[in-house]
Amino acid sequence: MEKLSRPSAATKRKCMMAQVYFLEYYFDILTYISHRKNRTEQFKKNAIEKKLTQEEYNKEWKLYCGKERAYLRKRRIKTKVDQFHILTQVGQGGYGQVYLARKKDTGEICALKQMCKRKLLKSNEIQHVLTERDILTATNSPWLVKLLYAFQDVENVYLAMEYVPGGDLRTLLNKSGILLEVHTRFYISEMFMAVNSLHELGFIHRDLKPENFLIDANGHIKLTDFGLSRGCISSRRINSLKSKLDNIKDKQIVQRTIVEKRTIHKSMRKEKKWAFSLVGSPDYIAPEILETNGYDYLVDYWSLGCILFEFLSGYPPFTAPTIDEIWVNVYRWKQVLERPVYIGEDEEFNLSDEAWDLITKLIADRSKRISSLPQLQAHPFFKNKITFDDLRSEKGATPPFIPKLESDIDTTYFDDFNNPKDLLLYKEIMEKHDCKYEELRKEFIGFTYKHKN
Amino acid sequence: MNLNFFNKNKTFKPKKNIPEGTKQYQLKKYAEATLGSGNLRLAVALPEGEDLNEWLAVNTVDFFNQINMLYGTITEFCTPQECPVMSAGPKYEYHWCDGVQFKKPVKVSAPEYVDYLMTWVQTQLDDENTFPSKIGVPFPKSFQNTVKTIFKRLFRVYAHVYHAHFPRIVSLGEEAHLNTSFKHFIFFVQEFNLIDKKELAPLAELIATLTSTQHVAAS
Repeated sequence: MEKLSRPSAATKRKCMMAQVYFLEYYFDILTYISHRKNRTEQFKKNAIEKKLTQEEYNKEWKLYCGKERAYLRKRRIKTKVDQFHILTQVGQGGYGQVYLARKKDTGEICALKQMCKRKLLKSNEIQHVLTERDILTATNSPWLVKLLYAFQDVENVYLAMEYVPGGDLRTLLNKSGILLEVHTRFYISEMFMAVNSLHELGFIHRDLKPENFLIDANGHIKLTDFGLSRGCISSRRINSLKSKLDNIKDKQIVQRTIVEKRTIHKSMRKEKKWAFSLVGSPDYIAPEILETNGYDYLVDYWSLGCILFEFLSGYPPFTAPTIDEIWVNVYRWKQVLERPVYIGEDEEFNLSDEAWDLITKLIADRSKRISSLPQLQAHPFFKNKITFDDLRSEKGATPPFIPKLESDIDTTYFDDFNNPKDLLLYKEIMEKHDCKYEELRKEFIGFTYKHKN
Repeated sequence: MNLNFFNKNKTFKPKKNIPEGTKQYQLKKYAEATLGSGNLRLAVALPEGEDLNEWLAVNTVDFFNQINMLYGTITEFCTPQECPVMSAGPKYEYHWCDGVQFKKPVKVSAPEYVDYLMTWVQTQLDDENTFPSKIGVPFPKSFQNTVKTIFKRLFRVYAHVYHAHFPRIVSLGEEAHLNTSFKHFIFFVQEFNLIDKKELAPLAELIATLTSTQHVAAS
């Protein structure tokens, strides 16, 4: 008799996937059979009404059956990457590429994210990809990027997602440097709504950064990249971060002026975006993630506080030239967090008191941090200035930036991946992450998904 | 040995409670309302005017996916240590032979056997000459023989799961899915005469229960 030990998290997930799979499967097939029967009856009824001759009837019947048959064949065919026409590359990460693509049969435009299974396995990231897939299929929120298809072949897994053409907030920030308070209010409100809809699904993002927020065709925000969202990140990663912190936490804090911080951040921005795409920039990570007492969804509020600071100041609050130094700054955040003060002609950049107060209620100890959406909305920074529920409706404010798009496949707002110098940089990132083939088939059971409408 | 795997009251009963009002809840209600009442028998019948091979093809893919899902939930427990041979109870043992890589039958562990088997089926499903994907391309002459071999082999995964892992399946709350899936599979096999009776012997008792339950329900 088999001993019944406790099933692992991976098995529990597979059971859940199987449950959903069977419910949907039988729902679909029984619906199909009853609809098909109705269609056949309808055909016969029409044939009688049209008073077809036997010959005409046979011809029409053959045509009708051909249509039904073609539908069945389409249903049988797996989604494969060759069913997508790749238009151009719009992104690059440690595990693969993101392309703008058009599905050949339906004409749907999507962002096709390709990830190498071997690289995911090697860095222990399979769970994260499965999580992302689960969140994407669970949601209907306008604040979260929608999943159209998930599929796989021997080497890669693919997520075909709604294409959000306006670029990400990192790109917008790079272009504008600092955002006006009125624009900041709009974006940060929408970002809180987006993060809140993720929390409502029961997930914590825990690694929010400006890159995760995309601007849609109407200028509104959508959250993407939920890969790391889950109550628990892999304990291996936490332990490696902890031991790293132990090594560096006694280092001296380097005091820097606002101008220095700004310059450092500006010069690092582009390289950071790539270099950190694997290890993750610690700029926005809440310090309690590394504490043994655990953490909750409020780590995302901390991150939004850091992004709010960056919107208004032009650099993230704990910026430094090396990752180690950023970690030290986050660890010693109480000493490092500083309100930027400008004098003379730069005076216009000074933060309003409401804005600074909000920042300090987000970048704060867990117990003193703003801890709910209503509490946030009541803060003087927002109160009577913005109605959260109207953000996406016509009553809401006009978004500060509406992308000017030539067509539904315009990629103006994304990095150009045809530049050989950029590609060289990416290649370095990629090579660090290569590995050997291992058995992978079972790891991705329950990944496949097709949207219904 | 009592093979009382199939409890007619548990045709479709997911273990966890699904919150009311969700899509999943509606699906569950729908499935409960439809699956118990003999509709599974109707679900296998060739729709009027449909090409037999097209119908066999789409269902073959569906059963492969179902088994992949079900077996996937127990890969953690079906290990070379726990299941050193691919068996279906003490009387039946399977040795892998695909005529290509393994010309003679080889004794392998159950997880290896299932992996060979599922990979082999996947290769057939992905082969454009056997399962054409383009609209209008006909099936090959040998198609029905291939389908029969696929079904014969897929049956062995069910047989192993029932004989070696049923308590685990129950503890995972999956027996309803396994039973529905297998019942559907057997109805399909019977409808199109896809597997020899002697191949079905390891689960003969269960099959008798399934089909008689259906008989009572239908009358």
